[in-house]
Amino acid sequence: MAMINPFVAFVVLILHLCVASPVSASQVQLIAPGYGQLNYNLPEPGSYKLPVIVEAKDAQVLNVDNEYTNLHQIFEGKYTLLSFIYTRCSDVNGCPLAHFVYNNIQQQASKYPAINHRLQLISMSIDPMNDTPELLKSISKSGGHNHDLMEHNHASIKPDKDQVDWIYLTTTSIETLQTILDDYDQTVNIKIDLSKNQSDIIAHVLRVYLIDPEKKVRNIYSVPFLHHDILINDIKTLLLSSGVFPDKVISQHDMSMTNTTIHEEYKAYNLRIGPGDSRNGYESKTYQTASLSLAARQGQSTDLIKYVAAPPLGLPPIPTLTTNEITAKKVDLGKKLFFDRRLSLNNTISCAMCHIPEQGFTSNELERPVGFEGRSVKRNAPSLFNAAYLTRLFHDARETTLEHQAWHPILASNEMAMPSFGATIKKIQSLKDYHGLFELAFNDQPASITTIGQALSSYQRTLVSGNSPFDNWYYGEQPEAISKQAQRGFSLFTGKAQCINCHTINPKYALFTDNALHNTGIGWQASMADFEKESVLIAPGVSIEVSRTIKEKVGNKPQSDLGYYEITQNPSDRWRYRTPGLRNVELTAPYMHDGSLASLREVIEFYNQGGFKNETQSPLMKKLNLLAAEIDDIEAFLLTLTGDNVAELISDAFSVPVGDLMY
Amino acid sequence: MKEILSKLSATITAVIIAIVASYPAVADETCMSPYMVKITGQEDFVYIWTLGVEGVGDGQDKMVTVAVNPQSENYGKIVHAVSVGGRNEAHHSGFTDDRKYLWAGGLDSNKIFIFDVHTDPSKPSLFKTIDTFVSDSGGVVGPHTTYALPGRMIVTGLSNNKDHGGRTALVEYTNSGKYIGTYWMPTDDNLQGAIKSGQYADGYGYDIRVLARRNVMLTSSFTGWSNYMMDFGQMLGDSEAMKRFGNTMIIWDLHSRKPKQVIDVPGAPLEIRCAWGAENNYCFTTTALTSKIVLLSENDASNDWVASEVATIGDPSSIPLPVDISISSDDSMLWVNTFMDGKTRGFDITDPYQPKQVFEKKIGAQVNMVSSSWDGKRLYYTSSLLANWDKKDQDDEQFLKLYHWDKGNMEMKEQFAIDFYAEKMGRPHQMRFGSYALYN
Repeated sequence: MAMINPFVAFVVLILHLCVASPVSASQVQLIAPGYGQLNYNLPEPGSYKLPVIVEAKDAQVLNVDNEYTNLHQIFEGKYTLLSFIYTRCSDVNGCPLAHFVYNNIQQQASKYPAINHRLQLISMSIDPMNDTPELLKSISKSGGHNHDLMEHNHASIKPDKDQVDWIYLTTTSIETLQTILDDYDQTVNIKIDLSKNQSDIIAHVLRVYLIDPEKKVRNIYSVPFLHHDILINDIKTLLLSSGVFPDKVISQHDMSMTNTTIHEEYKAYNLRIGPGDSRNGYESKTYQTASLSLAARQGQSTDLIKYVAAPPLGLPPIPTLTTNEITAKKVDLGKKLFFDRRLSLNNTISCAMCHIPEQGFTSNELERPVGFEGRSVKRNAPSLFNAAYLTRLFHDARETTLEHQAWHPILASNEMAMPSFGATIKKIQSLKDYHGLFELAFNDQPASITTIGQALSSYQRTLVSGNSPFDNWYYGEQPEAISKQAQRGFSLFTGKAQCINCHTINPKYALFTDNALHNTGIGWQASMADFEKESVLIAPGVSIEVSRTIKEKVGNKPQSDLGYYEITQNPSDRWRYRTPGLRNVELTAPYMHDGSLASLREVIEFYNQGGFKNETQSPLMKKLNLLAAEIDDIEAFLLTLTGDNVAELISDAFSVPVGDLMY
Repeated sequence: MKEILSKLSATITAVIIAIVASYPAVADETCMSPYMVKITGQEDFVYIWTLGVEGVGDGQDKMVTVAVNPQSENYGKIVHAVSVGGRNEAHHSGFTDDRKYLWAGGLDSNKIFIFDVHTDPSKPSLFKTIDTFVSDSGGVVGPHTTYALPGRMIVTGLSNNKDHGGRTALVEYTNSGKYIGTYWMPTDDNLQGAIKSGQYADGYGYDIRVLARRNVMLTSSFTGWSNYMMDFGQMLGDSEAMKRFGNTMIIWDLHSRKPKQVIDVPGAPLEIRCAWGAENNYCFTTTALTSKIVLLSENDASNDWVASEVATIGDPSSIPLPVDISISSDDSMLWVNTFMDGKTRGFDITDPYQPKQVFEKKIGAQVNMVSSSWDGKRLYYTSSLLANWDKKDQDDEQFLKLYHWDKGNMEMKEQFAIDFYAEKMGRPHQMRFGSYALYN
């Protein structure tokens, strides 16, 4: 009796319980899945990947012949299942489970020669004081079972030289063992059971490691996962990935799934102009998503400098400062900075997080942007298309050049929140991927207040967009370039609707802005009006009325926004904002300086009613008495203002890596 | 030989019965990964991942430790706090499967702070910070749920570094913090082999749970960085922003990490809690915006999963905003917190298809998280939802409260409350339990 190891006996009993006897319902709940059949279908081998988790560490160990060897020597060239066990283990879902599963794998692997010869099983003891090489040798010789018991256990498999190797290992001391356990992140606790005055009982988190011939851990299994079918499936998957076909299960279809590069159709300029997360029609219960994967957001870089030499039809030459001639190197550097989230204090916000290329270089998803730590920005992010031509920057015209403008968002505490010019410059200089770039672009000048502004403005100046259907009709004199409806819309735009008063057109080019500031009433309304209830969408086609009380409980007080007055301090300038250009206007919703109007239709209707009347409203604002059909015509005209290079500019932007990594 | 065997079998059967009898006591709080080492008795500590608040104490996020064992002389008191630097939008946390480390994510800074909780369970220490989450993952933003799988952690993202919207992925790390892989949520252009069961495939993410016995992993969907970081009042008034919430849940093949099914669950399904019973192949979620309890259940015949709205929480027209939920270990009760009215509600889920509210209590001016002990007798509550969503002014109460729940008499009694502002800590969010017994 003393010769019968309890571990061995336990295995026999488990085999008996699981194979020979009916199992009660309560026991079904308690015995690990590895003892029974999986009650779900596994994915096809090869249809998924097992990425490298970690390097399997080396260590000196003792084999059952009391010889020193090391793990890497054993792992070399084989697929290995490694488990940490001890023969005194008394947890039904612990070592006996690993042992049971190993047994099953030996059986299963024998059906697959490709696995049989490439796989080995290792049971590594975590109880070196007890599990001597001699003891382990007696177990290994029995294939895990005492010979005396074999005759009563027909379900077990006799050792066979054609079977998968099953190697038992131990160590010379607890100290040596501990290093291995630490290397494999294997928790082992020793507990003393005082009540029974018994020697230590070791508890450990059962883990089995799948290691490839390159000594890399490819999967880690614990009790709920430890099932021979799962392990065999994973081994087959690894074999397939190395070109070995363990069986004929894999189909051509499966192979093509693993090898096909997806989204080839999105190469070139075949991209969506608009949010990848489209919410068109969200107000309706019939809404359906049309989402794009972020992996599809790929593009090709473009030589943007060509627009400096030859601006698109309908646009004047790109104005530049004599102190900042546009060069390709500056543009490339500016582009890199533009998409670099590290230009914010906590590395979360780049220029492009609010001026999103496929969203009209603004954000279609927000009325007003969200800045550092979620702080509110009080005005809509302006589109950057044709910003090169603006003589006054920001909605309130507080800046004069793009070189100066570039620094405002970087330093604004509610935008990118960099604490100072110096801190920004120092941070950029510390980033390895910027080393030498400023010097290359700026005749050996380093990153500085001047060169950072110049690089960013150089890129933004190249974001010009013209040669639209309108341009081809109006300047290119192609009568069919826009529809009759759009032509009627143009007549209204320049006539009855009087849009042209502010959205100006020149005989040789059109910027659709007078670069002046006007009070339409939008700002006044936001400052003066209150609401009691507001309709809020809470799901597609589902909205509820939200009271002011609720909103106030969870919202900060609105920020004051008085427009141009904030620059001049002149009361007559209250709520005056810069006229935006209209090129690509179909891409830049939501509209107005605060993003409060969702569609072009709403904008035209706002102007048709004369805006919101107030004391300092522009005298140009008055009721237009446009008919519904006329509003349709104007809208049709506005849709002809989209440039022909928008996809090219977006694709170019997609090709720029987003800066995230601090080192 | 037969006699020996017979005696041996009897002995070992007795051992098995003893083991089997103790097997149900395998978990503590009811919402953890089933792979985890468990506390079997009274928890000693609650670790609270706490948001730093400008002007409160040192203003930084911190892991706060509260002694909760009645035997402790510090019962109900903060015994330790470790600041991590910055305000990262501290949110959720989760142990590794060996429970030696607690991973805590920052939804804004994208940092994952790994605390050593085993060396001294009374004093968690910052062991390592993963500050390469975004670049590791290929652009995932907002590490949310940190969920233990064997030897590794799977982290749900909420957003991305391209548009700060809701399209995102799952990211897997080893327990030691080495990046393993990224699994993007299925989108319409690339369902990755998943079946789109309804109208939506938005690619959004939030929480994750697994049903290992069914090889199933479930994820829910919330919203992107722009919304979860935005002032809540501003967002309610932003008609574009309000369109950017998740309306889906994904059923994944756990083993291959491949999505199998995209299910419509409109209204931002947040926390997922799966039943514990061996035959109970279902999970619950609640929708934040539409205030529903939704049952996710498996069709036995087809193995497809189905989402069913099975109950309404409060008055949806007043936006109760269901937030955290907790399922009892016997699958009989679902605790549902609603942020706006500060209430906890107990739903009898004995019949999962017909949950019935059987208890309701106001915990504070606002309430978010609830954590239950395995025996269901202790319920811990914290107040903070998100830095810019929490209530303003006098309703901005920030607390940890412990209640004892008497199921027989349906009574809940407060045991202690800690004012996290008065203690200069900040805003308490997720709670995890600690115990000396785990590491002895």
